[in-house]
Amino acid sequence: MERGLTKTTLSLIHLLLLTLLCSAPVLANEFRTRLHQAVGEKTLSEDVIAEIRFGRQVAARILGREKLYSDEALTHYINLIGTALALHSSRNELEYHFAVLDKSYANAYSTPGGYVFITKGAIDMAQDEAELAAVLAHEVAHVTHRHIVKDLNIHGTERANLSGLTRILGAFGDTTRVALSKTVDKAMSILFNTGYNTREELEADQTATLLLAETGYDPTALKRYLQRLATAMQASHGNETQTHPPSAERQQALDTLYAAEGLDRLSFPTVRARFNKVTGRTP
Amino acid sequence: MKMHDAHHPIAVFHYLILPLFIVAMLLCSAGPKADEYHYNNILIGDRAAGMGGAYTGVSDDPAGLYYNPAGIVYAIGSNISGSMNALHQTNTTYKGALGGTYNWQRKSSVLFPNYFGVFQPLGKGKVGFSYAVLDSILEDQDQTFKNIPGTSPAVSTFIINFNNQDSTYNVGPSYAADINDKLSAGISLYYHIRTQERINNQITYVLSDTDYEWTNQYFHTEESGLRPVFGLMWTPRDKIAVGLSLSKTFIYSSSTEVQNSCIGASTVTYSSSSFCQSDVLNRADYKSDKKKAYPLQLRTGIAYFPNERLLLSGDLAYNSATDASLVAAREAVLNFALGAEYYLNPQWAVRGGVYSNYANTPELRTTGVSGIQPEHVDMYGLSLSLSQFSRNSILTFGFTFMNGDGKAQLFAPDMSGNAGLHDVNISTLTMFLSATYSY
Repeated sequence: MERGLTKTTLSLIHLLLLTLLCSAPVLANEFRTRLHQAVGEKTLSEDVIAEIRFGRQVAARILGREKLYSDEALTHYINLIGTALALHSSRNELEYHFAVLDKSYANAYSTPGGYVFITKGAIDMAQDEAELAAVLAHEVAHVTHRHIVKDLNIHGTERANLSGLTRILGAFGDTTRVALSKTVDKAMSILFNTGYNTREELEADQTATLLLAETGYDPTALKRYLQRLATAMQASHGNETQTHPPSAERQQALDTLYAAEGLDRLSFPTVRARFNKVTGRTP
Repeated sequence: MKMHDAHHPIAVFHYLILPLFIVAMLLCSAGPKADEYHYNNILIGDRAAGMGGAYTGVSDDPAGLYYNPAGIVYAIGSNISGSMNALHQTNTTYKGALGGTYNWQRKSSVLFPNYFGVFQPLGKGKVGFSYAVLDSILEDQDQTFKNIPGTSPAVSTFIINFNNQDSTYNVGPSYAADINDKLSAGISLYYHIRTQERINNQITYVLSDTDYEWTNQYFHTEESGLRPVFGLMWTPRDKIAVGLSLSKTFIYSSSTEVQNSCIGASTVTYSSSSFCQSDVLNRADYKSDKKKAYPLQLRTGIAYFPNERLLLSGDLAYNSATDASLVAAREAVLNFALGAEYYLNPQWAVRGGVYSNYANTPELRTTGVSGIQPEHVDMYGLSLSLSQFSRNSILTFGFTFMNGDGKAQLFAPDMSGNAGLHDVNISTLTMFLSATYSY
């Protein structure tokens, strides 16, 4: 004897299935999209939304100022490294984007919300993948610490006040556009002229080093890169990277961190072979 | 009516262990209860469990690997992993089992990893890996009853120490792919493992604790096999999906061991056929490599997605009848499940469901009985869960509650074949916490 539902119920189910058979076709299962997937950034807080929108504006300004380096394979490589770092960062609510700027000097920039730029010169300065990851991790760290966001007091609308920025992020009108433009100017000034303050740079160095270790890269890569960068700067007397504090101070802070965390005893890979292959260098 | 096969080692145990005192015959009831008599004891997966297990037509997250692997083709996002931990409690009460006065309760409480699943794209389809704990029982009881009425000679103290651990796991890979724009197919190939170990120690004091009978039973069984799950997901029209999955567990290795011991009371006269004899330690050991027969399971479900906020789903799960093997024959069972999901806002969603867990045993007879009939309890369940969403992750907390009343035969029938049935109530509460991550 079969237990549970009756034959009548089963017949109704069969009838329903036959009805469905005769129905109009459907091309995709888009109807499966759930609300949290459909709304995307609506799941984020107002502050994060404001940060992303502002960062997008700054990124657009950078792209209007600097030309992208046209190398699809290299850009893909940078994005793979950056995404791996971002996965280990503390802000998985952000979607990071990485791009290469066609500049011969060595520098990197990041805007709020996860837009990271590295110059071709900075890539050329690196000698292995760990060093390249170190530069990207430093920029990711600026994002995770929300340095520009804090410096410029960017908040979501629920926390906006008359002196705050973010009414402009969802509003229109000449006044708000001007205010937004001025704030973007300030962000550009931080990135390309004044730089972050020393505390923020050292904080980014520290976070980047830990991020390197968590991702599986040699955590001392940042120090090696800074040493080479300092040497190159002294040789060329360039001023393109005067946006950062003295290299010696940064290296000393890193030494302290290595000793405190035991990072200098780790033997994590530098991934030089892959770096050479992608960048076309001779091993 | 299906009875234990008298030639079977477990059934032999039941017939041999028929001590004189009624209370001691609780041995007969302390068998592999929940796992053996129902097929739907624990719901797998967080979203699925919240919807009462009505998931065959949905199956578009890691739990789909278990319910209907064809559904993972339609998961939003390419790489998804999910895991769930659950606290599962079962309380079985045999009413008036001891002298018509005392209830006999069996309690199980176990914290276990209910489910883990992960999948990612591979070629034209998706490949996944999952494990599921289909059932888990952990009973560990020490109980003492005093002055049980209606016993002869009068039982002054009855002590029972009972430990029962019974778990069933499925673990294995899956693959699913589109057949066309309306149909997908998938397969999961699970490695099936079940382990049960039970120790039942009873001391029955009589005559104001001046004499006693001691019985001890050890039961251990291990089995392994394969459980393929074939699934189809059909999209007949917009907003509607129909799922179908077919599975069966094939046991290729099974080992069962039973050890029984008894020392009879000095002042009691036992029949010559009794396993227990006065002041004599009798032992009887049995081993068997017989393989348990598992049913063919056919699940079908329909899901309706009216909008991004709401999902309605219904399932039917049919388990075929099985012949007597390691355990007695089982009847066919058709369970149902109904579930719903509703988004309060983009960050929060609630789910609810109702479902059945019918017994695979026949209704118990009261007369004309010659042995111990397995208990028969039909149960109904209620589920509720709450999820919080962030960009790449979902946290879910929920519970399922199941309850049912039925009949159990705790003791051997009398000489006239009267079973002397008892009312039995089973209730279970499962609380679960899960995390799903997409990348």
